[in-house]
Amino acid sequence: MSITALESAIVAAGNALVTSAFGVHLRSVNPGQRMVGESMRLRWLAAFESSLAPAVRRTLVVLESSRLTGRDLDLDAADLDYIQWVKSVHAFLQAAVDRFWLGIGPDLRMAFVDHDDLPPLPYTSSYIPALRVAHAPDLDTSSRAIGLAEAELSSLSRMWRAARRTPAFDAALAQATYLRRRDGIRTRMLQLRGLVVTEGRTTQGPSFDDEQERLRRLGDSAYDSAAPEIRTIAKALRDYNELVQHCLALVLGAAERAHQTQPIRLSEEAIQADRDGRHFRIRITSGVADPGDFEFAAPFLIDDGGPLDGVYLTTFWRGQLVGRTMIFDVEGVRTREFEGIN
Amino acid sequence: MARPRRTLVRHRPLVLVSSSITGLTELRAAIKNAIEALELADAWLFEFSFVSAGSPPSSQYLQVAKDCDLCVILVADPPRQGTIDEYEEASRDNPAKILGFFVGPDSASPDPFRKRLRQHTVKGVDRLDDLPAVVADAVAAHLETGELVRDSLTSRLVKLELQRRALVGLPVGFAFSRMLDAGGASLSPENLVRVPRVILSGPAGSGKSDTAIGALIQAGSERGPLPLYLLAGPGKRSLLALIESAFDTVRFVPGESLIRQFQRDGRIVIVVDGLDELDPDNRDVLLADIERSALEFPRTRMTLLLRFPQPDRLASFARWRLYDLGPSDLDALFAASGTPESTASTLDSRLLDLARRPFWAALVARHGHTVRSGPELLDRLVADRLNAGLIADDFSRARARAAVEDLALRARPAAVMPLDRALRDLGDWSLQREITATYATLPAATQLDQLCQTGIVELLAGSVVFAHPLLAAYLAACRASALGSLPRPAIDPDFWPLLGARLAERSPDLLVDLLTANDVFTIASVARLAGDSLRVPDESSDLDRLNRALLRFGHLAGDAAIGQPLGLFVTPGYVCMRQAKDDEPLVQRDGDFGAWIRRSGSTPSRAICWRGSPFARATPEVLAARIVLLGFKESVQRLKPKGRAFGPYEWDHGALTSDRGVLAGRVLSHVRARANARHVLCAALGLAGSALDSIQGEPHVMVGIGSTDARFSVSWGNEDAQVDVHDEELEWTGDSVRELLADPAAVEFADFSRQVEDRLGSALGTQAVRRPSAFEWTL
Repeated sequence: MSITALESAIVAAGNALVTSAFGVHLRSVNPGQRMVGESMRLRWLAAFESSLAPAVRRTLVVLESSRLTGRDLDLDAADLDYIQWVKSVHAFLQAAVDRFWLGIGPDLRMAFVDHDDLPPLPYTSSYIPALRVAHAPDLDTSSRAIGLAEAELSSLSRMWRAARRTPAFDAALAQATYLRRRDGIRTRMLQLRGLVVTEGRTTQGPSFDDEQERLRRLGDSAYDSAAPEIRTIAKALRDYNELVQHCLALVLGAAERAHQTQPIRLSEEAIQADRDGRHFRIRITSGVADPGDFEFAAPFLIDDGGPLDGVYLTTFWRGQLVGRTMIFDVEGVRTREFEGIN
Repeated sequence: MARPRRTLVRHRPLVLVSSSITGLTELRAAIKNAIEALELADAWLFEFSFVSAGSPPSSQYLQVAKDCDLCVILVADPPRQGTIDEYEEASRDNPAKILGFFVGPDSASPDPFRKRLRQHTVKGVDRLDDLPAVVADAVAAHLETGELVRDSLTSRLVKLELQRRALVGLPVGFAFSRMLDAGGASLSPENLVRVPRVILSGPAGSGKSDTAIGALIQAGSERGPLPLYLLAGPGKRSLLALIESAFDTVRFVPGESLIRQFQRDGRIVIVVDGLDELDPDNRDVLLADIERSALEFPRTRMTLLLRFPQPDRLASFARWRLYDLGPSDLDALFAASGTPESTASTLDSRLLDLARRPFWAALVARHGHTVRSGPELLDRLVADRLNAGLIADDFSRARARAAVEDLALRARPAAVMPLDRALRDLGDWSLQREITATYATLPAATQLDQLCQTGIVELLAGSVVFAHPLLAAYLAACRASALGSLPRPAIDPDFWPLLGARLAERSPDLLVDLLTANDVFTIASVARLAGDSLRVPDESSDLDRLNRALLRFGHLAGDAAIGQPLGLFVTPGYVCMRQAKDDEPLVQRDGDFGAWIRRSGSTPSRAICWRGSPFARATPEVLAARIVLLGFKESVQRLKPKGRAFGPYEWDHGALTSDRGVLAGRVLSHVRARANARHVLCAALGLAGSALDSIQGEPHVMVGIGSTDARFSVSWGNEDAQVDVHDEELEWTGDSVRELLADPAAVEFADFSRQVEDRLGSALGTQAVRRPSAFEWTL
């Protein structure tokens, strides 16, 4: 086994972003980085913007949490600049997503509802919200706005082209093509989407935790009671949407890291693997690996010709220092299965 | 004042009366009569050395001076050389047994001998007629206070400490201090004998005995209560018997009455060791007697050394505990041992795991670079001792080793046995056909003497005592592994893991029997101790052995899935395992991995993958043991309370700006900014060796980030604390993380999981099977 074409393109795009002006800026404007050495105050962006999600999403999570709880943040000029920049990146991501979905028109890609259509709170999902839009920003303009050079954009474009050559895209395209011909079904899907989005925007939970849980379940179970035909269509589209979000998280995670993604050297330690539908996860516990190999919400690459080959997104990261031994527990989910490849 | 008439001493003390006052036959008789009239002993033996001034001492009296229990020195001018020599001899044996009496004016005498004598118990008398009564009073006082034996007791302890250090090669003067009380406060060793009642716990090799012996030596030298180190063993089912035995080691045999007096007055301080090596019935009887004694004699300080004290016993005893060595301890030990500091980074992880305990740490410092497992370390220790025992040839050394292995097995679970039984057992052993066919016969007493010379065993108060319980357990395991059948079941926590490790290569079927008959913690110990194998794997037959082993003891994982037959997926470079399916071959080679691992029904398919073959590095049975541990840890994890109890985030409407939320967000934000936690971990490592020197034990720092969980914690020993992040440094705030967590169920689970970790030790921290990432280690 070896890594897939999309995985290869993800690694190349991520590595291109590491040294890009965009990557450098992304790392330097992180509020946690800017606030180092300062006495921490309540309500600072840096106090809440944790690394619980990919860049962009986590900022939007903090802002949404602040809005939802009615607790304003103390935002200084640098924070406001940062938020504005994050919004610029978000605009670029909308343009990028538009390319991922090329061939499946806005009316179809927005006919279904998913977690990215719901307000972002810390534990509802890891999706960057509101990326599938009817009118996406211009790719060239939005990429230049965040400091992406032609070469980097070219590298990214190879990624979304590779994504469009996956079985997952084929399945989504097939269902979208079918959906285009079935106005009645599309109308019912749009109605369902509208209901879920409206319900999502209406705060109901008695507490912040309850609200998170409600939104998580709302996104997960949006189609549980839908007709089988609609469930089938929505599943194919949501599966591809998951692949798109996964790709974006990988390249953002790569860009935020100060070094390029290289194949990790696995030792002889046991690796746990489990396969649950489209999710193939491995868990590595290592006392010898370079901690830089594994970072949260960032890619790691296994490429040794074995059954575990692939590009993984770190979904759990834990470092333990026990005596003089540093032990890393890392969980990663592989890209290949999202592509629809067994 | 008339003394109560009672017999305080049951043996016949030997009194040497040494004087240059000659020709006073009546005086000798009067002294003898006065002492005998005390009726403190069943009988007395007297020797009188009255030699003219200037005469040399006879060798006979020099020997008496050395052997006597009391040396009464009567000094009148001028002191004779013979008296001085006898004094020297007695002083070398035990300075406390010397009683000096000056006859006539003394106060201003510049005589050097008198000056030296004044360092001891000294009385002056003006008239010879008064001397018998004064001598008798001094003798009585000596017996009643026990001062007679103080220095001997202390000397024995110093000797014992040196022997124990020499056994493992612990550098002289090197001391560990990792003792914490139940509240987590750090304590210095001498505190151990300054509180009324303590149970000091810690795993084998953690330094309980050494810490206690050091504290007793300190107590002895401070002229406080008499320090008594009591070694529990077969046949001694009462505290009284143990105390008598301890006094017997210094040739002092007080009766029950005097011992009770000592206990009532708090004149003795007691450490009881060897309790873990007693069989449960005897231990229960002894502990009950100790409990009674603690209530009856509250002034007598007592420390019990126990690995795992039962919470429902000995409630009046405080619980103190020894913690693992920290990195700075190991660095210091390696430096003191002349071991290159870089050694630690090159050692096998299992050896480093063991080295968290002083006994093992010393062995690792000495041999770690040439061995790969704990049993190998013990083997080197045995070989060293046999070489040090001045045994002439390889053949004799082999015989000595075989003899001591047999003796150790016969003594199990104890590490001590009565001398007469040891001689009988050695005699029986030497008559066995396999022994007579291999070795020349050696009388049991001679063989035992040879073993004593090696330092592996020693004679102590009529018993043969192994130098360390772990050494005894290993020797017994060596013998048992050669027998072809398991010894009778017994609770023997040191022995079974070592036997298991020995059986791993030698007798897989017996290993399976052993693991099946024990518990998951024994499995953990075996997994930790068994060294890497160098095997040529045969996947089919190895898988068959693995499945047979899992079928036998897989249920110990507490997970029904563990024990079901496993199937293999073998591909160049990898071997993967998962639960076998009925419609497929048990071993698949180079097939479609994606199809192989795909879920079956509604259950996600789970597999364990190894780069290379795990069968090349471990026997199937040892691998099965590690898989059981993996399942057990996952089972424990399932006990974790649901919800966010463990997460520091509880951002309900009112808590968005709570300390907890801010703390977690701030730390994680900083972690993200600072190279994703790497910096934090490294900084904590630095702290462990510098800023937090006052915190004893092994630091445990954890940063966890997940989509449904996030945490950051530091613990030292049982002290949890949050760490605050300021720029490049971490700052110890001292606030308990537990105080931040309100959920009692979470705390309870954390306690439970910590106990599990303590018991499992580093079994999963090996290169074969690591800790499951889902397991919650600590707060």
